[in-house]
Amino acid sequence: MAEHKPAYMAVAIGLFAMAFVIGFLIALASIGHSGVLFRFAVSWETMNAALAIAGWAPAILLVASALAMESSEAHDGFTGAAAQVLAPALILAAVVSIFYLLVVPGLTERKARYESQSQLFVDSLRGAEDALQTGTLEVAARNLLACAAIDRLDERYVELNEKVQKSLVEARAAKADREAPPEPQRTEEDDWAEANRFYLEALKARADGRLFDAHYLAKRSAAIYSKRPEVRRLVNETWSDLQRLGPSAEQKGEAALYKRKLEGYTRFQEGDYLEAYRIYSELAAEASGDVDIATYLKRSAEGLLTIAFFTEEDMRAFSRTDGGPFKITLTSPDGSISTLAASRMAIAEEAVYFRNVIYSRSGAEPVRVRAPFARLHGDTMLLRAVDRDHPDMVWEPTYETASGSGFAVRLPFNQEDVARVHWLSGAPSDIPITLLATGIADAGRFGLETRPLLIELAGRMAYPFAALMLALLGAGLGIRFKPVAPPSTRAKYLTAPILVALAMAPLQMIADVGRLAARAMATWLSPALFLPAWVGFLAACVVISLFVSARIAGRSVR
Amino acid sequence: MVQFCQMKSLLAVVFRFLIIFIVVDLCLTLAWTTSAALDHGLDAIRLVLGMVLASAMPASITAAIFICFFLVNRLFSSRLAGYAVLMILSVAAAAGAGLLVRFVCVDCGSDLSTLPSLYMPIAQWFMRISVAPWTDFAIGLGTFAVMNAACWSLTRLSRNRPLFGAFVAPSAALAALYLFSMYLSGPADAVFKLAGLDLPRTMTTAALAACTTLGLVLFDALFAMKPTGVPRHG
Repeated sequence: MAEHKPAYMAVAIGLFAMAFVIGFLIALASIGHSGVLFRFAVSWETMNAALAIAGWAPAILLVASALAMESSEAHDGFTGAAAQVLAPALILAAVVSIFYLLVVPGLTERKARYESQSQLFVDSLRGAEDALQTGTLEVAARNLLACAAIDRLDERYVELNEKVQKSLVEARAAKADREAPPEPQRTEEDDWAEANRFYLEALKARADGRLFDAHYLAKRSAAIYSKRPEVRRLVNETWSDLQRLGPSAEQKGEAALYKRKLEGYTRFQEGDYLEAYRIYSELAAEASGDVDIATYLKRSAEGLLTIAFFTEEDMRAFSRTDGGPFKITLTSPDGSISTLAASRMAIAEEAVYFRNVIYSRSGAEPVRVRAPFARLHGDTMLLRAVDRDHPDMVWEPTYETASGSGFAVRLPFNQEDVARVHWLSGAPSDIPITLLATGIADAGRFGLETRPLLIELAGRMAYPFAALMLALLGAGLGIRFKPVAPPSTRAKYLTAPILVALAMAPLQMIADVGRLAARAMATWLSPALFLPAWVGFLAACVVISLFVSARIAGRSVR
Repeated sequence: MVQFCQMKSLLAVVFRFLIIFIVVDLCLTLAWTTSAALDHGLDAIRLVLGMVLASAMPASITAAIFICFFLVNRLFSSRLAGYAVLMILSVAAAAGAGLLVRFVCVDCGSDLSTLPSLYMPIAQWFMRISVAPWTDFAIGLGTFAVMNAACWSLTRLSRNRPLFGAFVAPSAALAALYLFSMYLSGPADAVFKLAGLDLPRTMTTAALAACTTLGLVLFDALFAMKPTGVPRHG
């Protein structure tokens, strides 16, 4: 009789497919309680199904190996069986490891995004409903904008949006009615009387020598009732008087403008870019077409950026990402300790932005400075922020030590270091594998706790070894508990989910023991020794699994 | 000759049980002591070692007896003989462990906070029952041991798929420990109070464990396969 090769790979793929279907069905049944939007439903269910595979993968690998060996007709004992199962087990170990390391983090992140966006949609919709009921239509409209950004086809949104838009139109119409000026019921006599009052006041002002007032009042009189020639004459005469008595207002205006331009230029030449920027901002509002003003507004803004930054950059960075609290500590070779702490931080392409930052440096000349806003580009941190539209609003640093001054400090670490520390100080499970593998030394250098990172790295390194161990153990069990007659394929696949479920709790316990070992090694060994020791431990576990499997199977390793 | 074979089988089971019991107890002690050392420093090892070694014994008995089920399946074709061997072995081990705590490990310490929270009720119960009056000692440890041995039927669910038993056993061992810890809890007492019986917790636990044992034996008689009593296939 021809010897059948154990179809470990085929059984494993079959079980993974079953796990996907079961995971999808469970997600389908639970979507009603999850609050996920209909728009995300299929994607969310798919993510859940894929994550179910990730959760059940260890048990599936064990059961697949056992099922393959249970129906195998190999007669050369455990050694032959192990050899046959080893090649597919190695391939599966690689596939499962890649799946865990590269695919699962993305799936988890996407699933979380679907859930958070759905929650935001529901909260915003509820907020809009409440606002509509209380009559705060602007709030309702704002909430609906948030909903529209997520799903503008949702029926609840469409229905509520129609109501809110209708209410807004009605409210605007009512407001327009309320604010519309009453129709004038004035007669020509009324106009004449009011114009005459201004005319008389203008005459009095002219007699008092107040020529500006006289011209202004005469103009007002003429605007109200224009049929009186003596009024028009008074307007012309007072204007002529104004022209005759001094330089024209236009000339005066030009002179003042020139004086301010000169003042701004002087400030610019002195390096007081903030004052220069303030002056040219004011002038730009008055004379937007002036080439000199436009040129020096730009140049003073450029100069200002060497000693300050605009708050709009900070706002833009924080609108995209908010890294939360941040802290970095570095001990320099000279023994001085530099610490930077901030209540919030945001990483942008061009710089890193901080809010409520405190920077301190110990040593011969200790420095401690705090600032409400800070911007780190390269290794230079600017501590002064300016509102571009209102340059009078400036946020400046406060030095708490005698030494130290200025609006910029040179740090012993740079923007890339800060970004790295930010990633490494988050939840270890969220750290990309490449950064985790290369960043542990940096984490230690910047005063971060390296133990959780080492434990996380240990966990991820264990995936291929665990897959191999499970395949070997499953092979041992399959051979040892082989039935008299091989079970049918249908019976095998029907019972597989039960076996997977039964294997989960014991495997969880074994995984806990593995985590304990990683924790112990990360605590008691130096980081340099940790990785070789951990790999050695995993290799020893594989060898022990081989011997245990052989023992279970009832044959010694030949 | 038959007697010699039976004696040999019995010795094999006893030997297997003792080896597994010792290995599991040492492994659990190593794991829980390491956990204690990580949480409280290396000095904690000296303080908790004796206590952990002693309190791991109920779990070790459960693990050892469950692994012996498979050997008994192969060595005994009679349920009665199998149960007799397993129950005597389990009761003897529990009694031995209890006596060890009672006479040797009196000052092993009582701070069990380093143990896993799910196992803590059993560890507390074991340390308490080991120094309890002899009647409570016998009833408490006896019912625990017998309940464990009664799970034998769970490894013989299917003649056609012996693999099923291999997967059921580890989960069943964990479930047995969990079930026993439930019997040690307040809600289990409340059941008896509802029935108008005001019994001490030792007795309510023993009663519930005894009922479980009966249920499992009944399950064996009605649904489980007979042990094969023949060497393994393949």
